Amino acid sequence: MPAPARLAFALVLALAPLLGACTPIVWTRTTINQPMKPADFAFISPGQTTWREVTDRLGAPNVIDPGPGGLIARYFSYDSAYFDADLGYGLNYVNPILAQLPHSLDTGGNGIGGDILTVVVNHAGIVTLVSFSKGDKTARFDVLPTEH
Amino acid sequence: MRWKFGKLSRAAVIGAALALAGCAASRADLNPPLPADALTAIKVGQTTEAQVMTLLGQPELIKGVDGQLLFHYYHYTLKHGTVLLFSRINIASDDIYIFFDKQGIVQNVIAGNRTQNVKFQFWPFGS
Repeated sequence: MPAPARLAFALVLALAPLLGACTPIVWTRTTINQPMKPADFAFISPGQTTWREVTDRLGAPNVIDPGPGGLIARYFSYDSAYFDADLGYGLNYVNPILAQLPHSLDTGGNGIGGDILTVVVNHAGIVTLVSFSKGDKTARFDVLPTEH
Repeated sequence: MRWKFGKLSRAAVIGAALALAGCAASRADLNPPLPADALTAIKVGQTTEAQVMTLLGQPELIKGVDGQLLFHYYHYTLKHGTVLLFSRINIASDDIYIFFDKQGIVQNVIAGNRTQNVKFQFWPFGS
């Protein structure tokens, strides 16, 4: 994961338990950038499309790195689905003594998926390779940690 | 002055307080927003590295790409909404890339603005 996204995700993951701390059940969805569809970049034809055409249509990429005799640009989006249920929450209302003892029984899961469009551009500014890695299906709300 | 509430007003205040009790909205930013007017002042073939730094400040990242120096500026916005059990956090970035030739003159500027489309939402299901 590129460095800026890593930092943003670290912030979100740090916040997530705080957001859900007040209720016994919580569904939290986190997205970074809007997901891309194959139709969005269908115009890119390796060997023909220029780097300028790519940036004119798709905007600035999230990351630009040096490539073999050119550059590598990445556009990414991430999706995360977090579910948590505290099955012991009801004991708060059963007995005041029980409420003071540790009684949380959490279950749930966090699925994170990412889509990454990679565009390789040569020294002449022509796209030589396009790759789309689709992983957003990994982001789903799991009730039990054993699901999958 | 003493506040006087009618029964209806009191019920409205209590009702609003209960309705909003499980709600939250927050926003966070990583780096300040990138100034659009400064970007228009950058001219390809004319503006120097030093002038770019004066206009936009120090870049977050500096790289060497394809024999060119590359400045990368970015700004992230996070918008979060919670209603009762449901939360949604949307994040997007604005990125600016400025390429310089070997003489330190701007050769290409690529700018994107994704944060303008970030919404406050709370419903976590669907797209």
